[in-house]
Amino acid sequence: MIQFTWLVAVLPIISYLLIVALERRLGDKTAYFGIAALLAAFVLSAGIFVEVLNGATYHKEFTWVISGTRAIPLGIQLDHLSATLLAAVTLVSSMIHIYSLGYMHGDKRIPRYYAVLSLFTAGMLGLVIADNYFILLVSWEIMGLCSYLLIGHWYEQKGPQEASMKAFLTTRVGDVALMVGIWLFFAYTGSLKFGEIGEMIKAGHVPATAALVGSLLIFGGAVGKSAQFPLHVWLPDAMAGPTPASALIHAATMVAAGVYLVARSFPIFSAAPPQALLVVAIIGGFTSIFAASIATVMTDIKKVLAYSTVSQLGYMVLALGAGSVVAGTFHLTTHAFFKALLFLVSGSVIHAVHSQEMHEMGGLRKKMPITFWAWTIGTLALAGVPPFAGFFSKDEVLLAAANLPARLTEQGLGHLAWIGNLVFFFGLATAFLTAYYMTRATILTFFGQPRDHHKYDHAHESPGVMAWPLIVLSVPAALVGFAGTTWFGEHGNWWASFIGEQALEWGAAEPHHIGWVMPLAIASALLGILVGYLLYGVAGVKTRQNAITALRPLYTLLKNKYYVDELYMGTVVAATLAFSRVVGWVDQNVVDRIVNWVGAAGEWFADVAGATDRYVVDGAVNGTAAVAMSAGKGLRRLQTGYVQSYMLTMAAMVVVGIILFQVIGG
Amino acid sequence: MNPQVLLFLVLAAITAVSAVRVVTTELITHAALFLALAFVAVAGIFLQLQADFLAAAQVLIYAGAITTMIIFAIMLSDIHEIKPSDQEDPFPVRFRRRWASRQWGFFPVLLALLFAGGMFWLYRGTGFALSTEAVSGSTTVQLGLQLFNEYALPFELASILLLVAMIGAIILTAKEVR
Amino acid sequence: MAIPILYPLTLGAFLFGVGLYGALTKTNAIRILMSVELMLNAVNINLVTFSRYITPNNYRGQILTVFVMTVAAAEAAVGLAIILVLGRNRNVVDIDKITLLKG
Repeated sequence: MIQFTWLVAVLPIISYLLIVALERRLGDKTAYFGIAALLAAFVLSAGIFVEVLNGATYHKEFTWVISGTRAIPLGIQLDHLSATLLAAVTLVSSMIHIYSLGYMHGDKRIPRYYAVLSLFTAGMLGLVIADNYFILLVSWEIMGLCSYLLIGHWYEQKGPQEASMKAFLTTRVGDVALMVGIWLFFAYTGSLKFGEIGEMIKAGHVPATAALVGSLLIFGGAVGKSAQFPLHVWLPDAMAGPTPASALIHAATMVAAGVYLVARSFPIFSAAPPQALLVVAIIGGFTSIFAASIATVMTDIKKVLAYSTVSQLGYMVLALGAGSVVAGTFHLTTHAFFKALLFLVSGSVIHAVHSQEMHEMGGLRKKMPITFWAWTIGTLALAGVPPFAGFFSKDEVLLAAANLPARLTEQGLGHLAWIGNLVFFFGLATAFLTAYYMTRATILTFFGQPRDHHKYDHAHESPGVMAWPLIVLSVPAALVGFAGTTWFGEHGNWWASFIGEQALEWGAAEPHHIGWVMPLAIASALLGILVGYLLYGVAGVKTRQNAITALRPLYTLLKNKYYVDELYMGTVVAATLAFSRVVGWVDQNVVDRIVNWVGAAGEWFADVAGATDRYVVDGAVNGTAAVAMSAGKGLRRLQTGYVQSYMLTMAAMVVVGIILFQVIGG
Repeated sequence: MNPQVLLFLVLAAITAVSAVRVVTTELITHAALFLALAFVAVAGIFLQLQADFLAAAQVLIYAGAITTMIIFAIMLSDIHEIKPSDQEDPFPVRFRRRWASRQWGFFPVLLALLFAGGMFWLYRGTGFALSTEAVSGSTTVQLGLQLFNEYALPFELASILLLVAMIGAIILTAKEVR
Repeated sequence: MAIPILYPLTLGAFLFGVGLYGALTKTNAIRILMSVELMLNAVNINLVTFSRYITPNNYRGQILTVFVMTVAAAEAAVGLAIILVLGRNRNVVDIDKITLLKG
């Protein structure tokens, strides 16, 4: 079965094509193509996973380009990590496909929704089985496009429209960095393969500075896609899309792609100077506490989950930065399950009460028992309460962070060991905050008295197509964590030995066991739950108001998400607008004057030269003026819409290229 | 002079002159006819380069199909271009109308000259690894064998492209869709 | 070969230059399409030349020419169809007046 790995990624593409082709004839029934394809893909990848468990691996190559004597092979590969993610992604995605049947019922663009959903999944699956940066980048961009389409599904409304644009442009910043990084390494090594580049760096084919810059550029791609600080701003806004799409984009696939990229590129990171991974760890640690603190004051249930996702992604990045591929990928897998579950539950709640504001909910526990229990499982997993999935993976992450100071000392960065301690503290504080805000969300949504009786009376348990995926996803969300216990596997825990041997090849240092980490993690999680319960379960509204008043500046800061959006608005956006204004002014006042002057000078010259060579000079002057004019207007003409002006620019660049090649390179 | 070289120069001159006429002549129908002439001359050059199959294809596809299509398009779209009024226009006006663009003056001419000159400069400086082998017989059989073995997939893709183009053209121009 | 390789290459460069000039300056869409065909022909001349002079008994260059011809035919069909529709719907074939690409 393992030789059909490619089929897993191709099945969703087939369903995408079928939906697009048969949309007119079958209408909303095309949704079943998506569901069928994803279920088939899941069965296939489950089979593949079992084979991989029994020791099979798969690698297939074909030649992409032959240029002169250099051939560039591309291929797909299946190892332990990709097989696991393949199974996880297809399971989550097929559940989301089924769930959407209920959630999107009555929507006017169901075929479009399912087509994009399928293509999106195909992008993620392609990314997982790629063995090189080329296929990875193609899949990466497919996902970027599809996320734009999914977030902007209700494009008649202003919110989704702007959010989709924001998501696309913000992640694009990271994509450019990623592309530059890939080409940098390609220029030095002539290879596009993950492992090969790492080996070439180790062998000394790449200067240390270039390796550092290149690996940070690749990390830049992950920062954009996985919504790490400072490019996290798009993810919370992206909640404007349909909730199941949010579950797919922000739990199992797109945001996971960034983390997966860093894990796959680990050979490069470990071969590059150690500062590269330190930057990764700092960004991850900072993002986790930064986003978790914002999540504590959000009142929109989806926004809470969005910031929680950003924070948990920070966790994964932190683990990878601390050198532990095992912890990072483990948290990636468990998080995919429980965060998808939580998103789907929130969708079910929103479906029932037609609101996203937690202040308008309350007491829903009795009305929606299945939803409530699924939410509870997801919450306990996310908060890190044993024995749910998140507990084990979060424990691994914290362990990796606790090992960071020692690791830094080992790498000769002993003077920076305090950063390691700081990052570990961030991780621990995040564990506390996570437990707190999830308790808060649970109590506000499901416990207490209904705050909006009209909405409460209207609420009802979701239909079967929506409830069953919740039940199915609850199982892995609760149990997957046991893969990280010592009960399975011969040495250490099962996951560590399953992923670990490969990770060791990549140069990952697996953390040593530290006894006090686990009790500390449990304690901070329980403390968070306790504080949340005391504040929202026991204390009244009055106490909370007092607390908010006492902490007014902090509360305002968090409520405004640390003003990052405003900062960007004030700097990047304003600078761009100012620049275009300056260019326009220069064009009108300086360039036009020069052009006029050139024209006047030409006329004067033509008069002096006399009538005999009038045509020649006239032509030359006009030519000069035209060159000056087109150069001057060039900036303004960038978006004229005239096809010919684009063509002219291209041709001019080709000519410049020819001349440069001849003068410098020839 | 070697008669082969002489023949080439004649064909090249025909090609060059008719190409220039394509972009400078006032009447668009004339331009289309000059285009056909250029295509036929290029077919002759292909023959000289011992690419017999391509020469035939050039005549059929370019000089035949594409030129016909362009003339049809001219007829159907009923374009009235600038009427030939050379007598009235003084030379500079005519000159500018032919060689200068409305927006960029003489810049495109300059650019095209720079391009052609730059390419010539590049070619002259390059030592090509010329082969002295002779071509063995007709290329058609060899071309066919290679096309259907090594390049079967691109060939199929090209046929799909043609099909798509055909459907696209029909849908675009059909008076009443669905 | 009696003809130096520089001759056909120069013809190709010249033809491409003429086509480029036409595509940049002409405002009539059909004329631009003709110019593009000229450029494609220039490329074909180069491909056939290299095929003949450098690998006389391997026909890769000529096969690429076959594909260029295919694409040229497809492009002409679609391009002319677009021009016809534009002429019918908006009564223009002057691309200066077609600026839907403007952002």
